[in-house]
Amino acid sequence: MNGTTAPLWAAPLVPALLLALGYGAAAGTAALRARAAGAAPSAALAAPARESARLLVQRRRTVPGADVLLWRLGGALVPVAAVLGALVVPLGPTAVSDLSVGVVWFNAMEVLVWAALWMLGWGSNSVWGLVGGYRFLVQGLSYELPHMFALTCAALGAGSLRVGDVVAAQEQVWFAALMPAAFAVYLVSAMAMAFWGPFGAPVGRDLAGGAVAELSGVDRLVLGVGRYMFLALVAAMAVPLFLGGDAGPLLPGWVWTLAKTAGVLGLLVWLGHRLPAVRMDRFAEAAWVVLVPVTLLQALAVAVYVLVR
Amino acid sequence: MDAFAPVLVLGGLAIALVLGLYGLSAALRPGRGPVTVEPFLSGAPVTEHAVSRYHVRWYTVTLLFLAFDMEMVFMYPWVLVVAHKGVPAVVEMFAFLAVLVAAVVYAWREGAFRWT
Amino acid sequence: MDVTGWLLRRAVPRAFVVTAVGGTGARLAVEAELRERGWYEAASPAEADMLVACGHPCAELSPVLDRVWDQMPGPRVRAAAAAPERAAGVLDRARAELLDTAAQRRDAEERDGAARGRAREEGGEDMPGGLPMADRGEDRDGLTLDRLHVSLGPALPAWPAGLSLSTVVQGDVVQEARVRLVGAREGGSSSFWEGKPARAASLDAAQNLLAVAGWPAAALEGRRLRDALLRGEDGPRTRERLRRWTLRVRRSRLLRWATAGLGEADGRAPAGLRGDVADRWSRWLDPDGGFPPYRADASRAALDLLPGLVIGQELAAVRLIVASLAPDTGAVGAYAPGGSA
Repeated sequence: MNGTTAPLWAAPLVPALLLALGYGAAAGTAALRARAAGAAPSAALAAPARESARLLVQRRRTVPGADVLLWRLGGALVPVAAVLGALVVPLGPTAVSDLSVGVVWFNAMEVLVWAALWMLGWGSNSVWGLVGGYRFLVQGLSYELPHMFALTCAALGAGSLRVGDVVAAQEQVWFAALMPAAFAVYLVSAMAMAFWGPFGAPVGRDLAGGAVAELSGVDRLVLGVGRYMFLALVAAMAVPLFLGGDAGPLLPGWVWTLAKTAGVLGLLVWLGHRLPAVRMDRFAEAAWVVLVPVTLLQALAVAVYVLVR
Repeated sequence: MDAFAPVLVLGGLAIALVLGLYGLSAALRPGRGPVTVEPFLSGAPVTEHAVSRYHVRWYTVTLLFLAFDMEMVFMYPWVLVVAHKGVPAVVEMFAFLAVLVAAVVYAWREGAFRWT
Repeated sequence: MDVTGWLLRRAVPRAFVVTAVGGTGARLAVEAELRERGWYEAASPAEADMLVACGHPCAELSPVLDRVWDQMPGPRVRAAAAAPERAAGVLDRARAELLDTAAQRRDAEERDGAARGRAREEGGEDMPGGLPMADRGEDRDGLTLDRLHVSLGPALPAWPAGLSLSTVVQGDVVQEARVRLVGAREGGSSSFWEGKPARAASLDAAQNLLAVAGWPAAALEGRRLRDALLRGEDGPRTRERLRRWTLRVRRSRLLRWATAGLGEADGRAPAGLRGDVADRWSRWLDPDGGFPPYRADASRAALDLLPGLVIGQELAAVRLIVASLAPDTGAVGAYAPGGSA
């Protein structure tokens, strides 16, 4: 039975699981990096913890004329948005709160990253930050519409904005199989909103770190943790939307949820390793001219399917 | 509104996580306050503040985005009634979307998505 | 129990590497050491705890290093790898210094004390940091917009040693650009790559471009292959790895998409520099030689081409164009922009 709401005492499980999954993604990234460098990948398991230790004891820094409030809020907003977005993501059949507008809620929380990165970039009073922050805005303008149409496809297939209903509607066939274009676009936009891998230009090395160029110490740690939690969130949301939620034989539902989430997360980590950055002035055109029509046609196909079903 | 009560709990937890990290770091790092430094500029001296009126060359894309974003306000509730209202709902929505896509095609031909 | 020291010992260092003209050998040694130890390279001083200067910094580069040093948050340590064979020892000592908790605390207190002193002296300022706001100027479309003065290099990761590109930007578009070499030496200078395997030189340029193009994993593997070739490893395993890596990079549609049509140099440019960014990096990866981008004349031509190619481009494109021209600043000797000398 799907769409139940968890008791409040289970709420701490949400940030804990996001942290654990995010840690796994960071360790996986470190392992792939170690393999490319020709070093032993075994040290990678502890790599994120070691980096966290380094940033915990590193001093914070500030810049004359920086808008410190905007700057710090921008960094803190990313982990907070990730945790709030996970409100509607079910573990097994149960979400912390299965809102009747769950899909829209997820959408709203995910858009907070736009504000966060721009605040980080603008607040730091640095050229790199300024350019990086605006890079994320144009990235958002490009990925957000295809992303919302992909979400709409899933909601349309279920005739409901409640995440529990979306899972229930996939009893016969997973939406990943029913609407493959929407699923593919969701994965692309998932990387883009977590400024991950090929969509890492807003924090790119060519800009000396872009929006995070002036961040040090715990300020950088909070953003880094938040970014991996966010990546875990967008991977986790793919499961109820497209991969049948907790459906699976033999094992209990929550195991299936976690296993599928880990699978999607692993795919995103691997793609981030294998792909170079996309230049936004080129991606914007592709997103509007290819991805938007593709997702709209997908929505039309789903609408027809809903009518004849 | 009961369904939204957990938002406060989760938000509180997330804020506690962030504050906890800040507190832990403050207890551990040498030099409690932040050190004030010049922003990085490849080792060159900084001669002006970076915050400035940024030339947003892709402003036409933002206008196009706004048009579509408003459309999403209709599309989310629309998914709830498609099965109930049937064919007319689908025809009306996609006729509306077709108008918007015509705008995208026009903007594309005018070069709105190329700004470099 | 000293938790701070315990955490410091667990931390993996992150080095900000600055290379002086002629310091290529030292840079390669430092990069190889960092890679083999599993240490990281910082993209900006803010995240770094180690400042490593490669080669012999000239009088003009020293203040640059001082400024970068001031921008590092601390715990921090400064190291100089003048010669390749010293790289390992220098990094070992730097790490030991980094772990000296007492010294790091003293450094933090001294900085805070100095900052308080400065604040008392200066009193109230009109503008934070005593800096003016950005001024306005005409852009290419005749609009009057804010302009910022942005210096690219000499202390910038994945950037030619000693190159300083002073730009005026509006938004992220470069409106003016001026090339200068910091620490160019008069008279007899020679490229590090003279007498080295040409493939290694190409790989070094390629890994640099990949880092700028936002593909750190491929860049890292490129470095690993470059170091293997420089050590004279040319066994079947290295060759197979090189083949597979080359294939993966050449076949990357995203990389080609991101670099095609940028920084087009016409027929008057030396053969190795002709075409767009994608043409240039493709030639380096060509198994039949390609053009090693390190000759003095080609490097000088690249520096002369540079301002014309980057004006009107956005910063991401500028970085790609510079990386694809890959001027070897160690080979050009004393350089005067625009001149033939």
